[in-house]
Amino acid sequence: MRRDVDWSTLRRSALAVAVVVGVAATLYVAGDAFAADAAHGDGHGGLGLTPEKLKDLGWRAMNFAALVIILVKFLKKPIVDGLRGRRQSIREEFDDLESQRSSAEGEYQQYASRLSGLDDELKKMVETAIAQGELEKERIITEANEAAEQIKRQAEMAVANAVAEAKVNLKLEVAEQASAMAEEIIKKNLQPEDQSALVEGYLAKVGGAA
Amino acid sequence: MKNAVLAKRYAKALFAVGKEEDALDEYATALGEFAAMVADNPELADALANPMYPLDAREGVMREIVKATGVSAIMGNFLNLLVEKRRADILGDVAEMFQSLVDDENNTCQGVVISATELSADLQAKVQETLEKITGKRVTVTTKVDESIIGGMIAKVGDLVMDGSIKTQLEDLKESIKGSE
Repeated sequence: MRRDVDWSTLRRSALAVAVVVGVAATLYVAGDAFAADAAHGDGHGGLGLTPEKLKDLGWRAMNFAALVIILVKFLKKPIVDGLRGRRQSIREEFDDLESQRSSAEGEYQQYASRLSGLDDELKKMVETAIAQGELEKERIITEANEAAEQIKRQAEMAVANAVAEAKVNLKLEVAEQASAMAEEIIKKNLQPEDQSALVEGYLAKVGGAA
Repeated sequence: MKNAVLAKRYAKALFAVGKEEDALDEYATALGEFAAMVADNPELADALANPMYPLDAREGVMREIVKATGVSAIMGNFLNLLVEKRRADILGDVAEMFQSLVDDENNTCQGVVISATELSADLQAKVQETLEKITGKRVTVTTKVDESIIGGMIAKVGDLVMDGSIKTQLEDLKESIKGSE
């Protein structure tokens, strides 16, 4: 990814381009002049390179050289700066990517280590869950036993209360029945002379007390 | 309570007059019979005591009754006064209080004996004798028959109640069975 700029090669390439262009321009001008001469047929022969043409060529070459110098003089710094900035940004980007890669590698190592320890962790979690389940089971059984005892006590109390209530009711019923039966028997067997005897007996009792 | 105080006040007034006239027993008998007659006739009691009726109408009713029963003039005036003072509703209380005052004056008291069957004269005399022995006063005994007491007797003299009835003994028996363990 990283690519350094070779300025000497660039300079040589620019010079070669300038020479080639200069030669081509010279040949073009010479060809032009030769054709013009052939057309005129003025019989001067040779290449037809008149001093004016040579002078013109010289001027053109100088012109071109001046252009190249000017270009190199004024464009070198911006181009170099631009390329340097580009190189710097590329380098920073590269460094950033490097750091990301190292970070990713670190995370990868971390996850890999965690994955390798996952079995042990899972085993511990299962053991912990089983232990907690056992404790919960013991607690539930204990609570259920206590609740059963409570229900049993309540049931025994309810039975005792019911028995006591039944005894009371039975006693009341017996009292009522006994009283009713006694009343019936007395009414059935009580004679007029018994009435007198009862009154006399009571009078003797209270009169004696008085 | 208020009625008792008022009744005692009226009874004392009549007692003073009766003692002066030496007619306590006569007044007691007349007042007792009159009070019993009014108590036995709720319409009559209403006609004498209901404030919905005009006072002169109520006074007219009392005058007619006094005239019809032929009570003494003093007793008639007393009864008319009760209506005039709008106290006809305490007539029964006045009669009881007056009888009590007369009994105290004569060292006697009123006794009621309840039995399941009619008591023979001999037995009534024994009852009276026993009650006089207990109270230390001469007792005028009134007998009543109530078959619901089954047998024995109940005697009431003033605040004293002596219950020798079979019914009460059976009740006591019932309570003792209920209270036994």
